[in-house]
Formats: sequence, C-alpha cells, structure tokens
Amino acid sequence: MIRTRIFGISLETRRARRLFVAGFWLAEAVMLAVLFQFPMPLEIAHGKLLPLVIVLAVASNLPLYLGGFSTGGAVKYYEGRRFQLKPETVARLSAKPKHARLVNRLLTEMRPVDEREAQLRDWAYHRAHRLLFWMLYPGAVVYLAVAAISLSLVARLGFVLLEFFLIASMSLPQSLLLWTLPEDEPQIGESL
Amino acid sequence: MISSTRLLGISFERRRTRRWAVALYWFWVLVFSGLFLRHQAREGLGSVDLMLLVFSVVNLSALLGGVRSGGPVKPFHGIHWAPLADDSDRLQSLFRGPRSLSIAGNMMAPEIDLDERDAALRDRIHFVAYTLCRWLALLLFGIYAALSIFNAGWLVRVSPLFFFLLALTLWSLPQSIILWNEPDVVEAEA
Repeated sequence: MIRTRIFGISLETRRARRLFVAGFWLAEAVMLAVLFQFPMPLEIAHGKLLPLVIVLAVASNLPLYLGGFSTGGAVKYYEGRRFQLKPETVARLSAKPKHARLVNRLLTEMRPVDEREAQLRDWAYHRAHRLLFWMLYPGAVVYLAVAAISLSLVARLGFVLLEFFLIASMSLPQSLLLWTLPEDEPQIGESL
Repeated sequence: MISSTRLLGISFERRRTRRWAVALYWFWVLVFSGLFLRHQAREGLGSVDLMLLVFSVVNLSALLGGVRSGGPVKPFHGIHWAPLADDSDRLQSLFRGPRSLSIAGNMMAPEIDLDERDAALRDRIHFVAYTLCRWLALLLFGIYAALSIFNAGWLVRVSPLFFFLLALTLWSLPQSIILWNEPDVVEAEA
C-alpha cells in the first residue's frame, strides 16, 4: 500500500516514512505561518495577491504527495482506476525491463484496493475523523472567542484556520497510515 | 449498529422513522443557522451566542448517538464504564421499573464492544463521511476566500457559522449516514 520511493526519497523503512510525514507537517506549518502574515481581507492585499496565491497553491498541493485520495503519492490511490489495460498493451509496454518495473507499479496503483487495504484505509479514516474533530473544535472555539473580542484578527485567523482544516482533511488519514504501517507492508510496484 | 434505545419514546428500529429523524435533524440545523445569521447581522456576536454555538455542536450531535451511548446509533467505541456493575442492590433501589432498568443496563454491563461487522461498518462510514467533510471544507474555504475579496463586511458575519457547520457536520455525519442506510432492525435479524 506504500510507494517505495518518492522524489528519490526511500520510504522502505518506517523511520523514513515517519520522517517524511514529520517533514510534510513542518512544511505545512511554515506555509500557514506565512499565510497568517498576509493582510486580510484580501481586497486590501493588493500587490500581495500573487505571493499569497503561490503560498496557498503550494500548501494545498503538498497533501497530494501523501497520496491516498490522489495517484502518485506515498500511499496507494484508494479507489483504483476503473479502466483496465489490455494484455497486449501491457506486454508491449513491458518489453524493456526498466519499463516493466514502471508498468508493474502502474498496474498495482490501478488495481482497486483489496479487502485488507480497504480495512486499513477505513481504520485510518475513522481515527483521522476523530482527530480532526478534536483539532477543529478547540480551533473553532478560539476563533469564536477572537471574533467576539477583536474583529481585526478574525479575518486572518479564519482564513488560516480554514486552510489548516482543509490540509488536515486531505492528509491526516495518509499521515496515520505512513506513521503506523509496519515495515513489511507490501509496497506499490512489488509483484502481485 | 442501531441501538434499541428509544429517544423521546420513539423507536428507531424502522428505517423510515430514522430517515424522518435525520431529515428533521438537518432541517433544524438549517433553521438554527438561518436564525443565528439573522441574529448576528442585527446584534453582532456576543458571549452568549458563542456559548450557544459551542454547546450546540456537542449536544445536537449527541442526539444521534455514536459519539455517546444512549442514542439511536450504538456508541462507536463501545461502553467501557460500568460504575454500578458490582452494586446491583443500589442499582435496583435507584432505578425502578422496566424502562429505568433498561437505561441502567448500560451501567451494569461489562465492557461492550462493537462486533466485527459493526466495527467494519463504522470504519467504512467514517471513510465516506470524512470524504464528504473534505469537500465541505473546500467549499467553505472557497466561499471564505471569495467573500474576503469581494465583500469583507459579510465575512465577519458569516464565518462563525462556517466553523459551526464544519464541526457539527464532522461530528454528526457518520451517524446520519448510518441511520439513513441501515435496514430495519427486524429485517436484519431475520
């Protein structure tokens, strides 16, 4: 269920995966801290809109590299693709050994999750659901308290909080999987 | 996954009843949100409004069960607290009558966990609910950004509601899906 390498970083050991997850969340924390510096509402940001859009785009696209709900990431795509390659197409593409490894990886990713992977996925989503609520609820309470006290901060805080929840909703289940799966977890690209 | 507990005297064993209850629940959330928005537009956000929102998230979603015992949906993590398990005499004197005893049954029961089927269903439903909440978060973020560009005045009015809706949806959507989809209890047992 886990990709072997991503951007040249090996994810074969659990330690490497945990460092990858920690690095991801550190990068997101930095993005969110930068986002908080932008003036709000955006109509007064004027010339700072382009840097804001760039930071937002990077922060929102980083979770894609964890995979899960997207292809090509560290965790196998949950749904699997709905189309199948013809055997002759597979044979033609796999003619060279180098291409054969790539094709095998592609086929594994295109295969819908099996029962075991589905159970793991559902377990991770259940845990992530509770974790997300217990992050969202205090965050919302803080936001509402700030909204009642200081209107100047509320727009910026709301923007950053919503972006944080969006990122968390995209990446928590995959983070949990990468953090907890054992080292002998079958990896994308291994022979079926 | 459906508990035999009655809520306000209503049994939730039939799917039709449950669907009405879920529809009513979400209709009430919409009405409450509209009333809150109207009140806030006129009088701003006060500490009482704040407390109302905060407590509503927990108490409204608790009506559906799942996150607590005693609701129509079985508690997601079972029951692991039986304060009167070893004191049946006190229990008998405190709770008299068949209805009270069934409520007290939870206090006497040893640890109750969901069976394998219920646990798998619970996890699968959380996958669906989480995916829907992700789309809701994206939608709300998009609206927030658009308001931030085009109408900052509305931003301050509407944004507390965003967090309320997001938290309430996150905490009650799994139970809603379970109540909506599970077959009649009699059918399931047959």
